[in-house]
Amino acid sequence: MTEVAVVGFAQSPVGVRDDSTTSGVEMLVPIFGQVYAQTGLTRRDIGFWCSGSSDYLAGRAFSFVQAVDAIGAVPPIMESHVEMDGAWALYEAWVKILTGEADIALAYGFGKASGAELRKVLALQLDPYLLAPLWPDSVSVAALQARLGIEAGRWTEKDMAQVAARSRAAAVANPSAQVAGEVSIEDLLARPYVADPLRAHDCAPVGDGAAVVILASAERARELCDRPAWITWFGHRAESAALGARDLVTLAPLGPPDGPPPDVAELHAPFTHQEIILREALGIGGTTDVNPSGGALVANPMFAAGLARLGCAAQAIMTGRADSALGHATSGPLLQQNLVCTMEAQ
Amino acid sequence: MTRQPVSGGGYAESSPRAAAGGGYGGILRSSPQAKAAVLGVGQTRHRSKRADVSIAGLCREAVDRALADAGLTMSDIDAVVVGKAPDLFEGVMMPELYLADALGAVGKPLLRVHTAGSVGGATGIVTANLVQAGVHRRVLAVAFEKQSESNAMWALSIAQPFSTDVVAGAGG
Repeated sequence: MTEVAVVGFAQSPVGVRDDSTTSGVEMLVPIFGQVYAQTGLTRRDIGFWCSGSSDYLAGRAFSFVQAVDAIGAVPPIMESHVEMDGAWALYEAWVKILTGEADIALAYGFGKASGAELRKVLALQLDPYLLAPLWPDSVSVAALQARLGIEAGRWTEKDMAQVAARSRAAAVANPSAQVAGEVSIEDLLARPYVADPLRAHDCAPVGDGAAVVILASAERARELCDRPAWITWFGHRAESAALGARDLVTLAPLGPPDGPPPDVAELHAPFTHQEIILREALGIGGTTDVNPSGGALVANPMFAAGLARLGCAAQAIMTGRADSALGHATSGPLLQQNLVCTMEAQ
Repeated sequence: MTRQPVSGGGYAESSPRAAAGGGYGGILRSSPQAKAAVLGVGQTRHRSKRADVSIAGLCREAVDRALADAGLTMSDIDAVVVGKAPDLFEGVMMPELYLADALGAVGKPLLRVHTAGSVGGATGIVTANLVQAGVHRRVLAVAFEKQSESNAMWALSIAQPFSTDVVAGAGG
């Protein structure tokens, strides 16, 4: 079996950045340097490049072409792009290595959400004939989902606040996090709604950032990394776009159908109640350390946050903190698309 | 070291999870690179404006023709790859999300390739790679534009701050 491993990961500091444009180049160049230093690679060693980003977020057609400046595409490179989170670019890179056409691949994702009114931009993901003209912004739509779960007895506002408090506390140890700190549940619940029943802490912060992951085939991985994170399962699935046609508070099971729970799980949940949905769909219980990075609730660079979850999961293995890890990424309104990658040390 | 068994995506008979409706892409087999063949093709007649169909309807004309050409139905498809250049050409952000139902992608892996002017070719490459890598057995590739929904000249002319405008038309 062609085995593939993550051998490098870096993410940019996330926040409202006045030092970065929508091209992504300013955020990408430093973290490309970091993964090159981690692995001893140069740009000429990368056999395949793939990125994830969004034209609508950047406000420009073909916006990702500018990001290629961060690579230095001379001589010409084999390169592709998905109009999705960089986690799906990583998936395409994994497939490329499986074909044998490359043995080292680099996937990156980036987004500058602070340049836009993100919640309105995301309304354009909805049905263009029936829903988008009403401009249902992404936070209000998520609030509807949260309300459905509360009324169904699936979670409470306190459960949601607990997810936020745990994430922010964990983020103190994450230098890339936009939001971090110790906060009490009572303090959080005393704050006003931004979209009933969601409060500010229930929603991911709006910021700018980028992430990069390097994959290598079995032949190359061990020379590049002392403890590669070997990919054991990699898959994704789309749900219906018709929000009224699917169960918005329960997802059918995600991830590999069997096996022990991972030591670490990094879940891409931009809203607190969505982490609860994902934990259940993934079958993750009390023994798994969920979002030791703090997750998307502390740093949510659009089109890089999912890739960063996979990277953080891999990093837990590469640094020896875990022997098994699961990374998850989501795309579209209300967890419409979900991707899962499981990894282990050997 | 115990390697976890991987479930086959899109094969009802090879994965209990897939049979339950949670079809996933996982590694199907550990063979070296497989060959990929085109089973069928379909396209619409190009027109300046197709006011008679929605974006989903336009795609379905081509999809239905390709499935008929291949002698397949949507239930035979393991995954869907959509290729499309800038979303601003229709005014829909990530239209493959809205199209998931129309393309038979609900419950399946769905990828959206966008490599600007090369997207048609890139879509073919990504689709072929999925089969060659042994990840899926049958993949539907859909590439479209419905530029009459938006204004392509506007989409190509948006000035960016702090950038010299070097683009005149399609890039990439």
